[in-house]
Amino acid sequence: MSGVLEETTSREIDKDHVVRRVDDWVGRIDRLYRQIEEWLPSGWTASRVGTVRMHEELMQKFGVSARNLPVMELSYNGKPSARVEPRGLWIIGANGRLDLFSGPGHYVIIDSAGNFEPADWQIAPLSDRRNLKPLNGQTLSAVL
Amino acid sequence: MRDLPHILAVYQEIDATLEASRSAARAIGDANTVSSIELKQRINDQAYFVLCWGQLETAIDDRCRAAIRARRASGNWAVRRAWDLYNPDDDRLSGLSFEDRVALVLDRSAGPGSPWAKVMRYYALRNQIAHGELQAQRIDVDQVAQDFFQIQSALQG
Repeated sequence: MSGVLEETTSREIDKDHVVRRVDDWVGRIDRLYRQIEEWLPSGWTASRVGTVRMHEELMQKFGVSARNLPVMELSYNGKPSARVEPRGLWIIGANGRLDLFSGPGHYVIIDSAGNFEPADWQIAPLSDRRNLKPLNGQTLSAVL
Repeated sequence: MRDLPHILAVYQEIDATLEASRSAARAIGDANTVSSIELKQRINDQAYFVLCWGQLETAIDDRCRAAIRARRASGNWAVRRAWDLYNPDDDRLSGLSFEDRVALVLDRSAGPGSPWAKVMRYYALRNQIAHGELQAQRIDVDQVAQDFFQIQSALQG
């Protein structure tokens, strides 16, 4: 099953699959946050502040417990200036989405990889979501 | 699919408005409003997905009719004889199912991940939504539309 579209139109999903997908999502978020910390330009720091609750309908359908996912706050010279928060895993057209808020800017970060494949993070302004660019140190700095 | 960019523009405008309302509700910790807006976004995604799908389906039908006309016009009966079964001017293309229409313009045996496989997956999703089975997931309509443009470019006349 290569993506969310295949999952959505398949009748073969079971609880074990949903649990594995959630665990994979938690791991991808953790690795992304670590990567963002490494990419931060000078003067910026990151901390994990608060959580968002994940209990998507597929989890409810198969009796999978809710999870709390960390929100990452980014500060410039000690002042909170941006944050990254998980938005959803099962999105047809993306293998998970996080939102990045920076000042008035709102960006979406999506994983374009297939299920259980190494993440392929892309970023775009919410207002121009087709304008996806690979998420890296350069594109992150540009939106901060 | 000349109307698809217009459909996408309207979708983006509506979703951006909903997104701004969600952000405002989230900022003040109003979980009920956030939940209500997210439901609206899911429904809006699915409504616009079906609109976008209609554009792709029309593109497939148009390419099908063009392929039938071209083969029926062949001077070589060996080419023409099977295609003579279909009437390109008939609304339902002589009763061809959607799967068979797609098979006339995309390779049915191209395997997982092929344009054929994607069309059939999206068709299944379209049927679920159009027949009353609203999806629990959001649809990234912009990304799906990019997929539709790629499928359109793969259609063989």
